[in-house]
Amino acid sequence: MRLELRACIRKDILEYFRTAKWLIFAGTLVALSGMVLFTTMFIPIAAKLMPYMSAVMATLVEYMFDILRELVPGNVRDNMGFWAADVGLFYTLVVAIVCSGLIPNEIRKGCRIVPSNCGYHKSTFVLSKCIVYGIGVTVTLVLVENLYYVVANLMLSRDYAWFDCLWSSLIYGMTLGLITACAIILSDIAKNSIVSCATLLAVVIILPDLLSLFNGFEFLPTYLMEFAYCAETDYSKAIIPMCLLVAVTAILFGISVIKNRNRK
Amino acid sequence: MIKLEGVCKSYGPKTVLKDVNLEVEYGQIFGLIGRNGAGKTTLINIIGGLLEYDEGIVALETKDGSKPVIGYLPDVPAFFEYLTAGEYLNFLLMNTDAARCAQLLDMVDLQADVKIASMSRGMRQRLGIAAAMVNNPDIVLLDEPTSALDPQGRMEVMNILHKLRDEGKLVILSTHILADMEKVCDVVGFLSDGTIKRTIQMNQISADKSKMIVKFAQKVDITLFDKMEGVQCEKTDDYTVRFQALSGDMRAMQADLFGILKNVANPVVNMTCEFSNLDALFREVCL
Repeated sequence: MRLELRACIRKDILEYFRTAKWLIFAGTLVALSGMVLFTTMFIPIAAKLMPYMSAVMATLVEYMFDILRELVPGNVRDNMGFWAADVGLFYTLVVAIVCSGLIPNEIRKGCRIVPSNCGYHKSTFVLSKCIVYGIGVTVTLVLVENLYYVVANLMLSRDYAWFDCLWSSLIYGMTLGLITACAIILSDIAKNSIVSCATLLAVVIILPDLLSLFNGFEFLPTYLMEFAYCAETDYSKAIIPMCLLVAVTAILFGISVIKNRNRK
Repeated sequence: MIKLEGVCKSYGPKTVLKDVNLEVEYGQIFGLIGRNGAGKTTLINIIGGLLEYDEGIVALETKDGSKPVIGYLPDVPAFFEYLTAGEYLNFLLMNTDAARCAQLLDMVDLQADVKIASMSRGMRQRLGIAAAMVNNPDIVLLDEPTSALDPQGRMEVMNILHKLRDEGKLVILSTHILADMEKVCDVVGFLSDGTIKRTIQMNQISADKSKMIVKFAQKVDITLFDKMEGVQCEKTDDYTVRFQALSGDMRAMQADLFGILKNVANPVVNMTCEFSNLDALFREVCL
């Protein structure tokens, strides 16, 4: 099993880099960071141009800027929270689309027939993909978030320690890494990329808002997204949701192992 | 040994295999012949354990009674396109045996650093054959192994198959290229209407080849050929005689025949060999 997993991980690392998956993930994050930073920097500049606009236009634009100022804060801490919220929406979307298709595509093309004949187990393929892509997504996020922090510190008012940013990025990265693993496992269970992608997006994007209306939301894994969006610094709050997310991933993997065992 | 008894398989309402019976021994190459959609791939997948069957018994065992290792080449081999040939074989070997990887690449004449994505169909087929041999299988299942190969490549595959038989392995081969089957198979089975309609030893077909048809200018007296030993003579019409070497020794029959014809006044108009090959049998059984 160890040899099998090691060989599978090596193959998936080659896949991750040679099929430019790393570029897709890193590119999405860098593009999102650029967008957030541009919006943050653009608002004060545009505000200075207000007196030169006609009275009606100026009223409308000022109203719009007021909303944007609320959304895109000029201090680093809140800005990092805004960045995390954008990432939570768009990066998760890209990760879910890319990762949900990995296993169904391999099965559809028949790539696994010969390896299975050579002793590979179906669950090893799933586990290996979860490890490689989970770590890939986590590392990319941690690196880009810290890079964004450095750039944001040069341009915005500093109120957020790097140590906090590092911890926050690690928690957020691990959350998205485990979500990636769930996407991969769900696609293996459903054998369908669309079903797994839709389920995952509903869980990540819609469910946190719904669950936040109820008591005890802060103990559920969905709270981890909220934790990142608020650039929360009380890390003890992340322990229980993180443990639960690990447990959910493990249970999903267990279901996938049982289903694969019963499947020819 | 592979033993199939009453194997049936349906896909929904469509019955693909019904009551398939088959027995193949180690050291034999068994050729599976049938039209497109006859169920050859389904049967191979069932033997390889890749597909569940609805009814019947599939028994596979090695000479010592243990569970055999199976090597399998699908009809359209699919690979991880981003790997090179060497990386792919190493992956199948779980990175444990670099020497075996080099040996397999050498066997199919491929370079280790060639990217699979850039390979031609023939190269992919050869890589597929190497992949099927990775775990040194007891039973080798090859679905259309020569379909994309040039004559040289086909010859190389034939040589590999001969080598596998010499090593005592059991090979099941499916191909539409009947000339390849004739060269390499010991036994062939014709799969039609969901069942193996006929199995035939290839040496029987070779014996069938030993027929000559001689047409004379005048009416022929068949008693002239009574002296020929081990030869069956048969008049097909007043002018034509068919000779069949019962031993399968065509040369000896020809020598005897020419010896007699030298002394016969009735001139020969035409002389042909009658081939009863796999192609003819396929048309007879499967069409």
